[in-house]
Amino acid sequence: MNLVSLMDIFTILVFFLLVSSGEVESLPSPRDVRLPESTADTPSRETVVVLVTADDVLVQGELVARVADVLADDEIVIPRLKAALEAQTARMIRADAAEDVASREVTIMGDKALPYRLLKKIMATCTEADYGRVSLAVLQKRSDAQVAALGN
Amino acid sequence: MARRRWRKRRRHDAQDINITAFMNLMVVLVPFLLITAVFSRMSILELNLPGPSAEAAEQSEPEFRLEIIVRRDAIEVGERNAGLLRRFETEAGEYDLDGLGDYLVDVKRRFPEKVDATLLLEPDVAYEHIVAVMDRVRAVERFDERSSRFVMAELFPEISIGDAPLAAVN
Repeated sequence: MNLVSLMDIFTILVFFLLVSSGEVESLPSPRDVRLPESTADTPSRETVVVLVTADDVLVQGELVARVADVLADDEIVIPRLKAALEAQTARMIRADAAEDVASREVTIMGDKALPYRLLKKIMATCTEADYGRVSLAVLQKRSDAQVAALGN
Repeated sequence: MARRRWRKRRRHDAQDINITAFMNLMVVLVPFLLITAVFSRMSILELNLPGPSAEAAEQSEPEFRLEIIVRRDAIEVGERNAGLLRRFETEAGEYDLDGLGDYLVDVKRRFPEKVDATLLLEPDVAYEHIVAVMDRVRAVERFDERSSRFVMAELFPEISIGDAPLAAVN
């Protein structure tokens, strides 16, 4: 049986996948959160990750609070989230990064249907925990301009 | 009796090479790479949030402070001192983002050196709408006639977030 064509397909597929998997995703992409789409193209960086699903709030994979409790609470700062973020700061190996408030970064991965008041509490807690930079993780959606720019 | 044609050696070689080993490699590698392949790239949106230790610097002279208020039923574009400038009603449950984008292009044309805007949100606005509005406020893609292709034009990339004031009762 002639397998030359099969080998061709496999070879090309392997080369393509090898090249495209070389750009490594540095943030874990969770399966149970639907990220909103955006045309932002800033690449993701290695940071502390706060994952907000419709039910839970997790920091670096550990459950910190439940969304129902957070919304019921009138405080703008979520105390357990703040404690978990401060624990992450203490765990930072580079002492200079831990002291420089402006460079400490946290990334919020939220489901796209979250209400703004939940997001507001989370962002306020992050700034209260002395994280100078807050970023939102989004799925990259290519706009027409970006497609055109890639083609040139 | 038909004459037997000598087949050229080249054609034999394609069948003679033992490709079992190569096949093994491919059958293992291709499914593995397909499973671990990333088809949706994740990127991040950076925000400007004032830290607790930041001091609010009051501007001495009144400046044009662009505010975009996102409510459930409309998007209002206003300026802190002058009040409401334009209102975009939500049609059929969807925000009028194209109208907002066009109006912001106008505003940018009048104030080209202004790069910051404030986004004020009602408590129930969904995260995906917040991100969509932020997208339109940050940059717009326009069809440039000179080069006849789409370009991304920057509008107001520095976005601050706050709470929307209560809607005025009409």
